[in-house]
Amino acid sequence: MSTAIGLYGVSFAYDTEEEGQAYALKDVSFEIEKGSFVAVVGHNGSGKSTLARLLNGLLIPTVGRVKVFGYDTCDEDTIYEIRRRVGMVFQNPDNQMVASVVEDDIAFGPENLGVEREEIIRRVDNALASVGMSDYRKSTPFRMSGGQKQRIAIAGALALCPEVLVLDESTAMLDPKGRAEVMGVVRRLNREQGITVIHITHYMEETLDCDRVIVMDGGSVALDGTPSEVFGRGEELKRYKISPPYVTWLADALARAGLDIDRAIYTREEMEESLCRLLSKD
Amino acid sequence: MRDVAFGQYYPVSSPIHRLDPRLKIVFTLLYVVTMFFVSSYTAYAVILIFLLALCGFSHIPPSAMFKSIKGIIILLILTSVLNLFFYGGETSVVWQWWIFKISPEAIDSALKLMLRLILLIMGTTMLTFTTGATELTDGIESLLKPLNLIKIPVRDLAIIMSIALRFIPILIDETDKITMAQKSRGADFDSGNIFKRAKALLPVLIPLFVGAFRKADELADALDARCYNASPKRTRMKKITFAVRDLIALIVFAALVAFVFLDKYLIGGADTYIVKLFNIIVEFFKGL
Amino acid sequence: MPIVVKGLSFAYSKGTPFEKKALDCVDVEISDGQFIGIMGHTGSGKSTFIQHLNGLIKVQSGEIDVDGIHLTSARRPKPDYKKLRSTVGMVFQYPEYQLFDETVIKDVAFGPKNLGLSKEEAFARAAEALRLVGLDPDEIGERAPFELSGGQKRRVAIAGVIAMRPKILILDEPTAGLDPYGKEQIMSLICRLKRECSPTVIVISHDMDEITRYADRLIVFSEGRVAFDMPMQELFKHGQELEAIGLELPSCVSIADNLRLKGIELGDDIVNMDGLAKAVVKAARERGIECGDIASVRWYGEEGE
Repeated sequence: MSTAIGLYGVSFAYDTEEEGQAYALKDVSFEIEKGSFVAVVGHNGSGKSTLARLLNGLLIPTVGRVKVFGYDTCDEDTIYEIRRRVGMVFQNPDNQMVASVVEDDIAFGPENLGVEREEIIRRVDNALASVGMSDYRKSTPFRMSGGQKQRIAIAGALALCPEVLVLDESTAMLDPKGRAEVMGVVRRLNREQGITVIHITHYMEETLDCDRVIVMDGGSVALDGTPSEVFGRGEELKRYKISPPYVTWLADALARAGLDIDRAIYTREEMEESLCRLLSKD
Repeated sequence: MRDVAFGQYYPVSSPIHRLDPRLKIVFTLLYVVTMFFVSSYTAYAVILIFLLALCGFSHIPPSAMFKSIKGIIILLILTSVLNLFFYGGETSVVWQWWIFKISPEAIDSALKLMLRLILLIMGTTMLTFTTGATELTDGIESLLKPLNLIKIPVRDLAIIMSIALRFIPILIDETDKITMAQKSRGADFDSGNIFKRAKALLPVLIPLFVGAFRKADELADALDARCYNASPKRTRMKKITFAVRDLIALIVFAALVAFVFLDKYLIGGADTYIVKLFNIIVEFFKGL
Repeated sequence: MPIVVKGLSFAYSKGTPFEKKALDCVDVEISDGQFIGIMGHTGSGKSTFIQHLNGLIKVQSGEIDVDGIHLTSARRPKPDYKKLRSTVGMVFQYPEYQLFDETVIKDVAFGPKNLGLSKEEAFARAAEALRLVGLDPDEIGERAPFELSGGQKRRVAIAGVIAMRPKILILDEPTAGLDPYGKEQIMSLICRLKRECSPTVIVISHDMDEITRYADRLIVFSEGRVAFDMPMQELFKHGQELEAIGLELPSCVSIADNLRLKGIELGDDIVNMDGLAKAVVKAARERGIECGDIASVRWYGEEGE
């Protein structure tokens, strides 16, 4: 497997009025494999959003390097090579659409790249089909549900034919139904089209079937591993103000009451099995 | 109905709705100019018939078109009355009181002015009735394209227009929400003098502006992430095509404009002929 | 005095081709001291409903009685809106976006001032409200609201409503957009406000697992009607119907249901995590397994609020 994006000793500082420079990220290094599904979690202010904006050169590291398919984000000449490969979906669905008609909005990216007209139409068709919104081609996004708007935003990114999709808290403002819609679409894109997904979120439930979970705290990587590795570190998670799914809360409480339950359980099925095992013993 | 920013769009499907938006914009501009050359009641009648036919073809109830005058009714009455009493040209006064006087010429002039304004509004309304906001911007962009030659960034202007259109309904919605929130905190927007009321709006306006700037900030990131400014030769997905129905529309419209000008400069007002014709018919029936 | 809503119907853009029915003959009674959860997907009418309780939407048909204030479609007598708005406090979604004044204390005092209180009284109330939401008025009172952190801003916005001393507090998705820690804090704050100042609390929520931890009654809206309004134990027996209107059962209920299918009965009165944990402890003891008690299932411990 090859590397899609690599961060090498990345720090990012911004100017504040009172204290001079403040670091949002401190010495972060990791590589993201092509085709993987990586979740980045962390409480508000842990540096997640800064991280997202470093991945496609919207922000440039103060120290260190971010490399995307070999291109350095510092290099202004190749910045569009990076942005074309790293599609990005933001938090507020209303603040990232440029047109009042769905298809016009999706066409915006390829139009900027100077793609031929026929090819743009093909891309818009494909992008809409990929997010399951083909019927809404001529509609206006204004009265759509949050989940639908975010799917349109994903389609807008897909029209660039990206290899990586970065979701910057794209599910934070959605209701559970909308979240499920978006997560379904993103998982399918990862599985079927091999698109690398970097999903930044504070819903631990959405990280359960990821290949890898990176936990951010205070601008640094606090934990990095598979979901089961990360969820097993209950006390540390509490310290990083991260909350696992409710099932893990329950497992934690039962284990502390002295029952024979694995604290790292994070799916409903596992919980049911453990309770079955526990309570079948006569 | 906020899906359309101008609140005027009549969302039905019709041949007129499908006309090339550029053509409709040009027609509307020409229509406005032409209206100032209309000289006879016959021509006004022809234009009214044209507008009614337009309603028919665009599946818009004529009542909707007539309603568009409602907004200018005061202006209409005021200008007509002024024109009626203070007509400046040579007159054969039939009624006079203090500085007011009425003459047949004044009546004629006031009537024509009124007709002109009414038809002007109704005609231009048909453009917004049958053309969506996006189509309008597309049309304007396409028409302004030649300005690219003198280094005016037409595409950027078009994107600004498009973003503005997209955000108008969002901002209206936001205004509603903030107004409600402040009302529930006891804010009173409806009483007091004008200064008090203006001041009462601050709790709505400030969050609205702060919000708009936040939106603009996020939007800037979104534009960059989608490679805005990546290539000097941007392409367009939408191509406005000129169809047969556009040609037909062109011919019909040209005929209308031609009639107005012929009426004014060659025939010298068809009214006299119609009156003559009417007289002949009357004579004919008298003869029987 | 309770809230009584009878036959409330409402349509947006009434009498135009774009008319859209939002509420259809809604009957609801809410007695004092309840913690009500209101659920329903986007467009189910729940927001329109709560906006009626604050007089923000004029009644089209039906009637509402809030703490003795009568709201009907009749123009006269004009209801006492000032009194209504000091009785019913309403916290909108993302309330931090409605802050506007130069300092925190002035912003919070906006409501009390509108009630006609003197400047001193209003400021005293604002300081009290800030303390109630866990902020120190001396420390942040003179700061600009825009410099605060997201969580602080939301608290300030809630304080702005609390300062009007409402007996009924309505919050529209108070935890939307916050991280789990922030959510936990805001929910504990709401519980404390219920204890200390507003005995009746109505919360709109999308998160079954979250709302069942706090509410003692759920009202489910769908297509402008009250689809369900019954004790939660009863409600969660309608899993399929809930799913049909886009709501999932709380995970503790589905765990208990699935265990029942496997022959393990934990009781049918489980509505939240605490209930499930207690039922498991009880069942374990019945089977001779020793274990401690579980008071409540929490993740962050007591320092959450």
